[in-house]
Amino acid sequence: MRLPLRGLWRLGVLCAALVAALVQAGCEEQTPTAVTEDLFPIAPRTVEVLFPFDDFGGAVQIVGGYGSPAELGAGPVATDFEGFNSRAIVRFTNYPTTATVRDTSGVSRPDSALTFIGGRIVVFYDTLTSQVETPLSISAGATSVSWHGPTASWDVAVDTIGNRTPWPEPGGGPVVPIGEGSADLLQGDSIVIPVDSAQVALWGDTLDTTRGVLIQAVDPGRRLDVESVRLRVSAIPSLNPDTLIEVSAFAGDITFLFDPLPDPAPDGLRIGGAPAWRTFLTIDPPRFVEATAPICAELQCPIEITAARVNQAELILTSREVPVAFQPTDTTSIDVRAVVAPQLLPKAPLGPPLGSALGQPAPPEYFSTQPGSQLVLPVTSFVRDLLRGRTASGEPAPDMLALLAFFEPISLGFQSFEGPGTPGAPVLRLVLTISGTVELP
Amino acid sequence: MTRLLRFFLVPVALLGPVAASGQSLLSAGGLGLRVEPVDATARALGGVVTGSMTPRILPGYPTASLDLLAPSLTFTGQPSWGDFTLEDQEGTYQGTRFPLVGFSIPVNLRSVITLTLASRFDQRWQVSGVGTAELGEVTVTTDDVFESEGGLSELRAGYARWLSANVAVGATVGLYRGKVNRTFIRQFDTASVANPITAFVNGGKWTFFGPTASVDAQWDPIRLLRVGARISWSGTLEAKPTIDTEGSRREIEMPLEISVGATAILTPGLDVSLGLETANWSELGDPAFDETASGRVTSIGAGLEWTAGSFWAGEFPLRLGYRRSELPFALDADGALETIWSAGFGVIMAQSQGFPLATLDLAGELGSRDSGPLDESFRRVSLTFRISGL
Repeated sequence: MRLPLRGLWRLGVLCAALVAALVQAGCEEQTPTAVTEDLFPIAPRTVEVLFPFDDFGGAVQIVGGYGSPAELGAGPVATDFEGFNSRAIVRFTNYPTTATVRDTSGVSRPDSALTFIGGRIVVFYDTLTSQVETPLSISAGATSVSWHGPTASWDVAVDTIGNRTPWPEPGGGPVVPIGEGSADLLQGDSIVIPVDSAQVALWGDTLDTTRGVLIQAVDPGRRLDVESVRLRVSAIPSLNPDTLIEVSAFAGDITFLFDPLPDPAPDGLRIGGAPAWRTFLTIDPPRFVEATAPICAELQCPIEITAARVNQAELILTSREVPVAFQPTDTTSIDVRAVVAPQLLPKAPLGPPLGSALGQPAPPEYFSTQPGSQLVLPVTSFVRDLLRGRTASGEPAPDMLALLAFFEPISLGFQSFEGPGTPGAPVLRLVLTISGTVELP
Repeated sequence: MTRLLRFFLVPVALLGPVAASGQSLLSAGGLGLRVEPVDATARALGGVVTGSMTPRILPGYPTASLDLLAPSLTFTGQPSWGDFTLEDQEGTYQGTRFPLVGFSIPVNLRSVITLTLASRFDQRWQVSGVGTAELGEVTVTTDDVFESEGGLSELRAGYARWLSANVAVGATVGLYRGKVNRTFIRQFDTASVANPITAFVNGGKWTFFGPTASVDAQWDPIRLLRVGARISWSGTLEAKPTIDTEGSRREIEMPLEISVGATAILTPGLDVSLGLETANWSELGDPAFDETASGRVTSIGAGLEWTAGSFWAGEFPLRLGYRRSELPFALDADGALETIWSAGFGVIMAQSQGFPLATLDLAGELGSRDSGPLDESFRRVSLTFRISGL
């Protein structure tokens, strides 16, 4: 007995149509809604637990030297600003060798035979962050000893491997005065200091490692935040000697020499600055927590803290006032990362950011007018890995955290926080959800 | 051991609403919602399968396949739509299930072998709730979802044989197999907090395993009457947690199920069927299951089949039925009652020498379930295809 082909064809068409209707109906699963908590087989509780530093933290290290002020491109110029001194030292790039000029017949042509006859230094400054209530005199002087931009500091002109040469005089050594200008926040955002032709000619020798200009504040007690420095050079083109043109040389090397550089407080944490500091600390989260009587009536106490129960882990830092000269002038992003190989400190590789992609913003007032503010750093995945004993990829879980500026270095200003042993010591905040075991009915 | 600085302990208050999905909210009780693994013909006839005169492939009833004289394959699909009220709440649901696949091979004109895969209990349901958690000075909204996904099926192999011209017996052996995932997820609305709060997940997975066997018989004392009976035995159903499940292993003592039924030809073209099934769903060996078990439950059904004439390639039977069932598990100890009115028809799409080679049966049901504060009404369509002569 065989199914005839004609019947099979009809059956196939009908089955296909009906199965399609069934599948269509199945695709429209709809959830009914009711109210009864009795249907929940477990009754989880979500709680917040705060642990003091002694319960979870240890081995705090504050390590500086990451990056250089030369990477900033901008910084302060001040003399005795609350005891702080800072100078900008600049080495300009080569002068332009060619300029397009209009010749005597009125045709624009490139001219590579320029005669430099003088110039002017233009110092641009930040009118919002500079602390200059009255006009501030700024002087410029030509450096007279060899110096190395990436490594120069207040005391040292060159600090490379095998060559550590101090300045003859701290703060940039003796200089040949060039001139002065005045910074008046009400009048503009730049200072102009004339430069004579002889100095321009000297700076045109790019093989001279002593060349440079040191910019410093003449008047004490104020701080000018320099954004950039340029040299505008006046030149006579050979194609039209009756014409005066102006070309620009930019700051090839610019760094800031400052003094003093305050050491981190022994009871504090420090992040940021230039060169930047990082704070390293080990974390050993508690494995158990005591609960109150109502909880213990339902669950076994002390309650075990497991990775699955941790919904959120945060490190709470309390800000501390920073010396005026080093107070950040803008919001700084703080980054927190796991230290993958602590034995390699200070050059230990770090893991990816534990928080948001842009770090946690720390407003500048936290470190000036609002000390005691709390900065919350997310460390959920780090703590969960520690409780599991391994990372998601199966590697042993690191137990050291690095707290650092998201962009490093970002400014001379740094962030300071209360450290272990102080009332505002770091706190570990855990959000736990605790429940019984899910069983069959 | 750590020192507790502060332990804000705020139980999450369930504010509602709560949601559930599946074929019924009764899926939340015990082993779930019982699924009767029958075809559209039985659904239209009030669920009566024992003593039926219509040849079919049914789990645990190999004698019903004795008149299938060619290898046959059957398949049933079952979309359903429902509404419910639970206390002062109302809701709807819908979904499609496939409760039965069967295969039969006639050994000779007097005996048949069957193989069936059928659903027995549906454990698909979901409940959710909205609450709050006080985390320090911040109130965070929580969304809780508990989901149960899975069910219990039976795989049976059967053999039946005519002992005489009017007496046949059959037997099946089989296994209960299935699995269920039960997962609780609490998610946090992080709009009010600076850093994300990861969801809390807790759950487990169990697999079911257990033996079952049945014997059935049918007898035609006169040409116009067929009576039948079946006894189905089940051993201990083991619910075994997977290795990463904290939940415990469970054992459920499945009850003996007995069913009897009869079909009588009242007039040429008009049959009436009656059936009764009973089982004692108590003392299951697990107090948690006993808590929602209904004790002895009985189902009765009645159906009327009238062959109105011919359509397509053969007869065109019209069917009416009624069924009243006590369900094995309920939301509480009050038990659960299901009543169904049904109607349907069958179409023979191809036949040879009077033997149907391709059939389509359809049943529509209007039903209700009542369990304490829960009232459900549902509409269900069952479609069964059978192809013979493969």
